[in-house]
Amino acid sequence: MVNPARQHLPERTDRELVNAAREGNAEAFGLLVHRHQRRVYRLAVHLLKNGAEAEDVTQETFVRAYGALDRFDGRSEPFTWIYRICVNLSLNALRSRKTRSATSPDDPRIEGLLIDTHPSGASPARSSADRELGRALVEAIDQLSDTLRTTLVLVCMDGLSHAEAGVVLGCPEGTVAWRVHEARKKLRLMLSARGFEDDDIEGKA
Amino acid sequence: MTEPTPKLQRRADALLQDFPLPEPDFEALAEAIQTRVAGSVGASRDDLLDVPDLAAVPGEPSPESVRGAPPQSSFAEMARKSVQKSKSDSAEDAKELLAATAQSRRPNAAMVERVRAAGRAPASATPVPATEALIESAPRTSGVMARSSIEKTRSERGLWIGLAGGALALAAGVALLVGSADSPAPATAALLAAEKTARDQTPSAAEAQPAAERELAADSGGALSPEALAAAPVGKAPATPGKLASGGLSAARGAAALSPAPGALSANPNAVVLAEDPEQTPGDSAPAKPAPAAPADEPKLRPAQGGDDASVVTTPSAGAVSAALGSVRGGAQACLAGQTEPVTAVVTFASNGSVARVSAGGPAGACIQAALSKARIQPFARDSFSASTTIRPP
Repeated sequence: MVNPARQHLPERTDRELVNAAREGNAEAFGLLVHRHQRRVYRLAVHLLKNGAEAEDVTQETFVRAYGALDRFDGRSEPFTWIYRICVNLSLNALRSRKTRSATSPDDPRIEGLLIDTHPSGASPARSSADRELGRALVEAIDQLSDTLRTTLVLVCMDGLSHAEAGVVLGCPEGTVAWRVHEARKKLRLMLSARGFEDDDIEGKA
Repeated sequence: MTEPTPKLQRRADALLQDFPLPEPDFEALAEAIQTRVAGSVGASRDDLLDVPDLAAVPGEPSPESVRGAPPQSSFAEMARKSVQKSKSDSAEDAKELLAATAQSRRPNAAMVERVRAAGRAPASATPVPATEALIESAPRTSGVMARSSIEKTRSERGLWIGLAGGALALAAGVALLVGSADSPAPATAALLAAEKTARDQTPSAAEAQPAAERELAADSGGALSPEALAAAPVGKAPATPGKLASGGLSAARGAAALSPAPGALSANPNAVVLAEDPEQTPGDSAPAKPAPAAPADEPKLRPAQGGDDASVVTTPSAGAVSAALGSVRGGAQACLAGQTEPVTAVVTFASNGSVARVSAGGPAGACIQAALSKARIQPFARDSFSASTTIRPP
């Protein structure tokens, strides 16, 4: 027999799930976890550059979110609220590191580039070039300040709108737009310095 | 004006939008979250819901300038910024204003005079164009006074003010000369007597202040105790130690001794995740409902065993737990030799700092339990404390 309270959970909005979780519906919170854990993990990976730490932060993010359900005021979307916790935890972890190493050997992003080296129809030479570009891009992203990197990851990699990123970061949309612009400008310069010229720039190709 | 968004290489842009990442076992991750959530009680007390503490990027527009209207370089905007910013920034803004003025139109005498009058820039900082004399000689129709007429008016005004000041000084000198020959006036003498009496009967403010400080120091054994500091109003707990002002460091240390740093997470790559309530297991816990932040929900504290109270923290710090687990992690990782899947272990510390329980699944569970059981941390006040950590194959 299906519990009526559990019916139609997948169709519920995040806000409804949060409200249900507040009332003690553990499955509602579980569904929130399933909906957003992938994005939270990806965000944490790009901020922390470490898979194990990203898993820990992902786990901790949802535990803290659950503990703070009563503090969710409903003015913003729940996922921006969860993202903010993730960003704060990631920044705390980053700042408590003794050394801020560059790319680590177990960086999942590098691993991901290796996995993705054979897209259909691509020549080995092209795959190799793409891998080099990916590695250069990762290193360029790592050279950005925490502020620019966090904003870039939220907007360009995770697809948040400027308004949503503004809610997560607690700043106006205009500031987000400026930071994205600045981050992309720096990335472009750094890639150019590494020999990746603008021959393949969007719009010309 | 904002430049168009910089274009990246097409492949770089594609990578940004869809970066390939190896993904962990999200089912297991969700299960671990659900397990921890089911065992958690009490509302979150940390500041993780606050705005992330990210430093502004140099050159970043101020929130006020980007809120509402798009950023644009206008005189009004620069003037607003000069009011809002610090003094050093004001000088920059003044230069910017003058540079912008020079670009848009040649500075006229009235504008230079206004800047000088406002004290925003030294008088010699803005050279007056050589052609200004010609302009000043021409009749003005805008109502703005020419430089020469301003200076003429000023010199006349200065003459009259100087004369008046001299007369006043002369009168004051005469009055002093006459007054010194006589005895003090009765009213002045009475005031002096009253002041002397008051000085004799009560210590001065300068004497009273050290006395109060001595009393405070005596109460606290010569140094301010964490309790005394905690009793004082303290602002929001800093997110990072590096953010502490030098004057607030001891206060923060005192507060840290009483409660764990909110939001603190392990530093090393093998980070640990700390749980607030380790004793409740999923099986015996109540339905997963976040309890309100009420004093009754606070775990009971018990006195420290075999030590002074000041040295025992309520809960161990994330760094201490991380270090303890890090010291035995190698042994635990050795248990996973030949395997590919990581194992999440939950370590429960007893209040004396030793490991009370380790839960780890999989074929190497017993081996990992044995390895992690050797971890040890400083004693703490709570009954127990648990932390989860991911052990990866070597």
